[in-house]
Amino acid sequence: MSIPLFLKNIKNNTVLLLVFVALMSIYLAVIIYIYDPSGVGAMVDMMSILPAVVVNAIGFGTIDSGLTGFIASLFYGVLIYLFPMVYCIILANRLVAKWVYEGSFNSLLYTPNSRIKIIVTQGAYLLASIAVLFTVLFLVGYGMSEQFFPGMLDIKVFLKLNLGATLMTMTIGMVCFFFSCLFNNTKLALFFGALIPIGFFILNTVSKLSEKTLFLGKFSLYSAFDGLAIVNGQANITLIIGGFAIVIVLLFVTAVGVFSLKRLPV
Amino acid sequence: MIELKDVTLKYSSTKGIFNLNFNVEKGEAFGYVGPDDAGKTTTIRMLMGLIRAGRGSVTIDGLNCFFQASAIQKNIGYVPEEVGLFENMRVKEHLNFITQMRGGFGRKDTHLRDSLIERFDVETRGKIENMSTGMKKRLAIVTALMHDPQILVLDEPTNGLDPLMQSRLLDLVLEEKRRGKTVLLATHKFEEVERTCDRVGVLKEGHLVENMDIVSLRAEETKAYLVKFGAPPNLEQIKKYGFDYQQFSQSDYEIFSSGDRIDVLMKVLSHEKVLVFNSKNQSLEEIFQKHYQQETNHQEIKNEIKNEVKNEVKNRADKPQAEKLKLFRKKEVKNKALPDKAMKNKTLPEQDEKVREVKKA
Repeated sequence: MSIPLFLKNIKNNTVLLLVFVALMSIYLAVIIYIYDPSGVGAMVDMMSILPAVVVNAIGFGTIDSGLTGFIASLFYGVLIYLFPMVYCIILANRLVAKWVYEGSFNSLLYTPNSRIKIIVTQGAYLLASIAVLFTVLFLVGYGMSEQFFPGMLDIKVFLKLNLGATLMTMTIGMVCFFFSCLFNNTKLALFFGALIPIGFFILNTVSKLSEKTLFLGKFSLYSAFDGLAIVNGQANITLIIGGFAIVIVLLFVTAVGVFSLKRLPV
Repeated sequence: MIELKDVTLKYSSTKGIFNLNFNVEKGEAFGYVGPDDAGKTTTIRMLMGLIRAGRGSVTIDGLNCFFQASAIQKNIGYVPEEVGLFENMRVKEHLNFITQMRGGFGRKDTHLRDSLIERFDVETRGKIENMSTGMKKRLAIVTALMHDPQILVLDEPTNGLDPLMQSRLLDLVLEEKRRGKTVLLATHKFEEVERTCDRVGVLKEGHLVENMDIVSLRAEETKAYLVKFGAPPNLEQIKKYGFDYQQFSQSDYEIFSSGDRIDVLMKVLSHEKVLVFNSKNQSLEEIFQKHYQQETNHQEIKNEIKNEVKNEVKNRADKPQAEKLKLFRKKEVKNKALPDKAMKNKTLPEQDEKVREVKKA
C-alpha cells in the first residue's frame, strides 16, 4: 500500500463516489418515505396492472409487508445491481486502465514502488470506496427508518442485507478491476468490464421470468444475493459473504499477478 | 552500470530486439542511436522494467530490471519520449506527489527541484493539461531529475523542446556526466551524441551494428568543407594533393579531407580566392546515414555503388571510403537541386500569367 497514492485516489475519485452515494441515498430515503405500514396495498395494486412476468423480472414479485422486507424488495431487488455496477465499471477503469492508456501510470512505476504495491493500492481503494458507499447507505437507511418508522426496521437483517450487497458489489468491482489490469487499452477494459456484470444482470433477470429460464440464474453472480431470502431467513448469510470473499480474493490476486507480469506500453 | 547480455525480445520475426549486448559503465555517457522502429525505446522499456526480456538478462547495478525495478528506480532518472503526466493535476501538485511517491513525505529540501524549475523555465501555475507539449516535456525533465539520480536514461529528450531548452538540457547532461553520473541517451540527433557522449551504439532492426568510442572515431574521421570560391579554383592542384571534392555549381564545392591532413588542405586553398569556408563535421552522421539509408533504398544504393566503382575505380583505388562519400554527396546534390528547379519552373510562368491578367483587367 502506498499512502500518497491512496490519498491521490481519494482526491481524484471522491466526486464520482459522492454522485453515487447521493443518487442511491436519495433513492433509499424515498423508498423508506413512501412505505405505508398499514399495508402495501397501493403498491400491490399498482403491480397488479403490470403483467406478472414483468413484475417478477424487476424483482417486485413478492412484496413483504414489513419495512425491512419492503426495502429489501424495492431497493435490494434491482437497484442494488445496477447503480453499483456502473460505479464499479467507471471506477475500476479510472484506477488502472485509463492511466495506463494515457501513459501516466508509468510515472508511478518510475518511482521506487513495485508494481504489486501500486496495484494493490488501487485495488484497495476500489474495495474501500465500495465499503464507504454501503456504510453511508446503511446509515441513511437506518436514520430514515428511525426518523419515520421508529423501531420498525430490523437492524440485524438490514445489516446483513448491506453486508451481502457490499460483498457482491466488491466482487463485481474486482471483475472490472481484473479487466482493467489485464488490458492496456481503455476500450477493451471497459468492454469486458461492462460485458460481464451486464451479462450477470441479464441472466439474473431472465431467470426470474419463468420456470424454464430458472437455470440461467445459476450462471449469474447476482443470483447469489437475494434480498428477500435474507429477510425471510432462507439464505445463509455466512455462506454468501464467505463465497463472495473467496471470489474477491481470487480475483484480486489474479489481477495483481497479471498486472505485475504484463507488458506495459510507454 | 547498465548491462544487457544476449537480450532477445521478439514482437515478430523481424521486429524486436535480437541478441543485444552492450554495457554502459559507471560514469560513462552512451549514445544510443538508430532509425525509428529499430528497438531503442523497446530497450529502454526493458531497462525501466515495463517489459521483460524474452531471453537474456537486463541489469542495472546487478539488479534485474524487471523483478527489482523498484530498487533500481531509486537511482534512476528517466525522461520518456512521450511524456505521460497526470494531466488533471497542477504542476506543484504533480511534483509534490512524485516526491512523496519517491518516499520524500514531508521533505522540505526542494533546492534541486527549484533550481531545475528555474533552469528549464517551467511554468508552475496552472494545470498540466493546459500546458504546451514543450512545457510538458520540460516538466517531465524536472520530474525525472529532481531526486538527483545516479543514472540518467533519456529517450529523445530534446524532442519538442525549443533550441534554447535543447541546449540547456545538453549542458545539464554534460554537467551531470562530469559529476560522475551514468548516461544513456537515445536519440536521432548525432550532434547531441557528439556533444555529450563518450561512446555510441547504433541499433538497426534490433541488432547493435556499431559500438564505438567517439574519441577514437574523431581521430580517423573524414571532414567535409563547404567552400565558395571567388574565382574558378585550380582543381588540378586540389586533386593532385589527393583531396576529394564535389562540385555543386561554378563556385560552390564540397571538399573532403581526412582529419590529419587539414593543414595540407589549408595550404592548397591559400592559393585560391576563398569567399566562404564552412566545416561540415559529419563523420558520425555518415555512419548513421549508412544504416538509415540502407533500410529505405537498399537496392538503389547497391546499384549506384556498383556503377561508381566501375567508373571511378582508377582514381579512387587509394580511397576505399570514396564511393560511400560520393553517394551521400550525390544524394544531397539531388535534394538540393531539385526543389529549386521545380520551384522556378512552376512559379515563374504562373506569376507571369497573373501579371498579364492584371494588366488586361
